[in-house]
Amino acid sequence: MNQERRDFLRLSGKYIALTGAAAIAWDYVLAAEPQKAPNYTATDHWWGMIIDIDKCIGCGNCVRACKAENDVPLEDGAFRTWVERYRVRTDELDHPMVDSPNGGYDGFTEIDQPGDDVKVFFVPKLCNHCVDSPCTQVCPVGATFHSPDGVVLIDKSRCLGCRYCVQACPYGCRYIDPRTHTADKCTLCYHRITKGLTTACCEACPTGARQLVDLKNPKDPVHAFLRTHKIQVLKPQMATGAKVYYNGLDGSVR
Amino acid sequence: MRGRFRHAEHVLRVAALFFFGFVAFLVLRSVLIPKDFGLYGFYRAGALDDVKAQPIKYAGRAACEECHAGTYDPPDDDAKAVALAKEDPVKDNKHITLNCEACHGPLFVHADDPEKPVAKVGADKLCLRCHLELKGRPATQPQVVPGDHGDNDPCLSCHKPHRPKTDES
Amino acid sequence: MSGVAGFIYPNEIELQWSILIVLYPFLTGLVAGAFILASLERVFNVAAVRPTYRLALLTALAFLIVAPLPLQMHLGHPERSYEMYLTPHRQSAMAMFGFVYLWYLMAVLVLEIWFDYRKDLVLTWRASHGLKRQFYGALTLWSDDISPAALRIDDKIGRFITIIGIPSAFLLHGYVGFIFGSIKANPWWSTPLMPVVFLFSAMVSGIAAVMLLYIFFCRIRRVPIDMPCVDTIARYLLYAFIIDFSLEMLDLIHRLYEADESLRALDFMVKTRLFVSQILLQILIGTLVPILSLGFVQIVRLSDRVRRTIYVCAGVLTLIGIFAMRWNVVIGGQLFSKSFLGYTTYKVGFATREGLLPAIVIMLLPFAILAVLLKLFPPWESTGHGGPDTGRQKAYSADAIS
Repeated sequence: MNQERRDFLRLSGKYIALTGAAAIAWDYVLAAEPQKAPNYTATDHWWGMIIDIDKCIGCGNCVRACKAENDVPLEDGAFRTWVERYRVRTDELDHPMVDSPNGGYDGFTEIDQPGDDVKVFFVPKLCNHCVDSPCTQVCPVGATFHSPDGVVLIDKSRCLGCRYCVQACPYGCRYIDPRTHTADKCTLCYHRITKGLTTACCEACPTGARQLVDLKNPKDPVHAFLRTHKIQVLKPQMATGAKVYYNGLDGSVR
Repeated sequence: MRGRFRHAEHVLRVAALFFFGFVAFLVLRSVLIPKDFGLYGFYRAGALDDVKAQPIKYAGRAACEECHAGTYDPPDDDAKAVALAKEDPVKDNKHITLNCEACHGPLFVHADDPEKPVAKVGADKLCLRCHLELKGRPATQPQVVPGDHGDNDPCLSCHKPHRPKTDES
Repeated sequence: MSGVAGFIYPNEIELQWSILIVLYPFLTGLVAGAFILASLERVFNVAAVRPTYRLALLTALAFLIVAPLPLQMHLGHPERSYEMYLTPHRQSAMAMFGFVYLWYLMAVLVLEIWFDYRKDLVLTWRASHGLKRQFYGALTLWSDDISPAALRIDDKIGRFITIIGIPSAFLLHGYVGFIFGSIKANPWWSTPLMPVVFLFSAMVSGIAAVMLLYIFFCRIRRVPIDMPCVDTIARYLLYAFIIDFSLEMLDLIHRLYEADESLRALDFMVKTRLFVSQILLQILIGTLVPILSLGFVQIVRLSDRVRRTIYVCAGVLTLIGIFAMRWNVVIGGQLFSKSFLGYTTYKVGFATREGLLPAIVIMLLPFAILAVLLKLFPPWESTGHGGPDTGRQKAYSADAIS
């Protein structure tokens, strides 16, 4: 392909593939100054996520992408997102067998025999960025908080590492970063979504099981999705106002 | 000192001590609390910028397509691939919806400066991560049992990752 | 993963709160309990326990001084702990710690000790030389008015502070119970009874500790033990214990009866991983045996020697039992997964930052501090409040003025 055509394709690809705002942000991204990208008003957005259990294949791409994007320690006990495999015997619905080898980082291996009478599915989990989050309620110094666009974040320069927030989270999505000795968790890739990109886990998912959604955007497909599918959140009895909506979530999921 | 307070001087000394301690506390507070604390909520507003400043590692599909739009359009000198493309248009290519970095790893650094190298992809292990037959994977996902499919040959001996459908299937 | 049974969330592999967090409520519990014992005499006029008044206050101070230490050693960033004073998050029970601690230390304990000891401090100031003189002078804030009028004011203020001190002591330890009791994510902790249970077990442990210390120091000083005093303390220990035990059993029975989802996970845990610490140590050895033996003393007439032996044994078992109770709450609450599908284990290190060695040092430190405090502020041969049962008038009788 000659140079002129290449240039034309590049320019048109850019302005077709990206919206105007994201295109401007992209210039800053390419100029290695992403933090100065304008055109992001936090109060215009209200972030959440949709996870479609029917589509998840348990490949673990999301876990790997998250660890790479956010420089999460590779060791055990430090997962911003992870995948659980549920194996439910139909005569023992109360006792699902669950495993999450290294959080699903290396995917899963088969442990059932072909004829086993067991229902198997994969459940990716992450911070639910709850509206009424118990974790921000208990932080003694205001080191974890809700951003104006609905993302629960941690101020690493103020966190004492008291671990109260880790205790208060019903979903087990927080951990203590062994390098900074502060609390850490999924940030919904705040550094990406504020620049028009999607989260690393959604980007990496091969089947589209994970989708970032902006509930304040009237054009976001989430509204139609929530209307037409049977949606659940994890542990609804805790009334945390979780914003990660699961389609196809089985009742046995804890 | 007069009257009732004649013998309470020590109480006043203690009270003064506590009072000055309290004042010192208030002064320290006003000095040490970050100026942008409480701007948007009970937190330091600068924390939002701290999080936003995190470096990006995954460029995203759009960035790759700026230069590599031709990936799913084969180069003219690959005759076999061109022939395949004629019968098997891009729209049936299941891998086309994948993000490039799902297999190639984070490439923001490369997108920023194309001189920077791209890591090699280790094919077989990578393919099986999504395509190994596992209970729990939906039937719409193509799955294989390695021993039964292709006699344990490497995946790439029959499948091109950018156009995985072979002419046998 | 070793020690894991069933499924736990991947981030739950490490216990968040260690043995140091078990120690903290144990220490503040002793503080609150010792203070309540002191207030029995000062506010409720239970004259029999006066010999332990000053000892109880100094014990409370010694333990209170050490109390923040396990917290500091546990924090990821102890150097940032001052932030609790700058930006305390009013919705967080833990944010109260800085202020409640400071209030209790300065406005209650230190002030009460100061007002009670002031006369002796002034007398020591006048009678000493050099560095010691300067030290005691500073302590008295260089005011040497110990006239009967001044001492009357001291007594009134001291009584007022004790009255305020009682709800303050409840707050000091009750908020720790609320820290656990308000966590809806953890069913082992989440109960409105938690602050009350913590409070009464604190009173039990504090009373037992002061009783044991009093008997111990009488022995060391080769002074006869005031049996009516110890009998009274043991009686109050029994009362507090009965209330404490009833509350804990109420919680347990309620859980067993309602049998909600979390019970299966908790029940199994109590029967296996917590069996020794919960059933044996806390309930049987640490609660039932002391209650029954202390109750026995109330019913059957026994000699002084036998009673003393029972009191010492009951006191030691009580302290073990209350420590076990803290352990079962803090550690027990973290042994099961929030998925209710699995358990993990707690391995205490030894010479690590949150290991057994620092825990032992922290437990011994208050006694070292108490030894220093007893030297600086002798509670025994005082002319003030805490001497033998001579009636409050002695505090400012004519011959006490020099």
